[in-house]
Amino acid sequence: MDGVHDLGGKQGFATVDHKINEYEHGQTYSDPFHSDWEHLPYSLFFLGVAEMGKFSVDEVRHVVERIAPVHYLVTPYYERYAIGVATLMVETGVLTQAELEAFAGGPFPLALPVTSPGRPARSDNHVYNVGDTVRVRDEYFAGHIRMPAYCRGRTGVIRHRTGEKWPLPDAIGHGRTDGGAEPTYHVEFTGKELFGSDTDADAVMVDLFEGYLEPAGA
Amino acid sequence: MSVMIEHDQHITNAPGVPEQAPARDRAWALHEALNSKGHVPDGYAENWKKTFEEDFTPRKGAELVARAWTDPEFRELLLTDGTAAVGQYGYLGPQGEYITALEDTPTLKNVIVCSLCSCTAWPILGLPPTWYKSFEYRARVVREPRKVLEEMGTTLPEDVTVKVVDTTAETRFMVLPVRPAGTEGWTAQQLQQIVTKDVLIGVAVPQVP
Repeated sequence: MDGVHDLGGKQGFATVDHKINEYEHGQTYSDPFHSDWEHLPYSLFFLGVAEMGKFSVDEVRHVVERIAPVHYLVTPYYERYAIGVATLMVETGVLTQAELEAFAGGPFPLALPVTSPGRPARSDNHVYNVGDTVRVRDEYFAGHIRMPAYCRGRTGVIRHRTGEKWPLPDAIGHGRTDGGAEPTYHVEFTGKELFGSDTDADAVMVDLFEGYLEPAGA
Repeated sequence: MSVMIEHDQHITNAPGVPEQAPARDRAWALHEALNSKGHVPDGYAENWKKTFEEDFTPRKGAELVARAWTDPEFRELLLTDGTAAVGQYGYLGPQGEYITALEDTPTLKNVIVCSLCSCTAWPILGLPPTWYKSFEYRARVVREPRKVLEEMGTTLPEDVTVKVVDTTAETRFMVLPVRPAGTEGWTAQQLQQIVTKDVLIGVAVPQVP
């Protein structure tokens, strides 16, 4: 999904609001929560995934991507997850938006509906080895995908193949059960391959599912 | 600076920004609506809060780094099978089930990001801080890491290669930094003190006071 969430390499953003090792109360680490509600989005996300079995972690990522672009951009991090989990609870029939708005005492706008049915795992995947040169498939997909656009169509080198396998996000992120089980690969690109001369990164490594890759030169 | 919106008020004056009840009211409404239907076990959110605040901590990552700095066999395990190394300590957990440690050298600096959301090795780094989840960091560090680190207070020598690692699937990363000179003979506890959260993310290098 080519949404505004896919931020890697976007230009025009200002300074990151942090100096190294300087956190609140003179600590070298952060308090995780800064309001009395901020633990709720993650906690209720796990309630939906682990206790109720209503959706996957991947569907939570996807529903946050489905928050309308301007809404996404003006909404702080934890609040996006409250909106996302609320949306999934409505979409899976656990709650209604009217109930949420009654409890909230005001409007509770949700993420936008899915625009893609998702897709199954491919049946023509290759297995790669460390050192192999691969290309990221030059594909465009409206559903959930864990391929940042900056590496689409680009060529890199495999540095690691995972010892475990997971369902393809493009399927499980839509609640589908045909995502199979694939290893992922740590693929290292040169900065130049991704951004030409307009970068000071020497290398960028991306953790890509097998189905996103093809042999270089294919 | 991050985008800041006043959440005590409804926002109605910007195109594309829907009118909303305050964030706090909506978050608790989600909890109460689920609770009213019997979906929330007693103490469920409170127990997670305790886990997030107390169990997931960069002190655990620091412990792993200090061990690797002083025990070559453990260092080798951490770099070849991070999951097994972290498992020895019982520190695997949610968002930290498949671990890869990234080895810095005198000529290589690793930096971790999740450009698509916020993925972090929670159990050993702690939940990600606000700045790591900011649009500024997610957009910029992939493309101009040297400049971003400089602005944050870490100046890298010209001859050091910078590698940015984007957390886009199930692997969760930690940086194994170079042990700085001047720490010879230090105790494990002393070594752990200089391995901060930002060192584990890769935007800082250990400082010897």
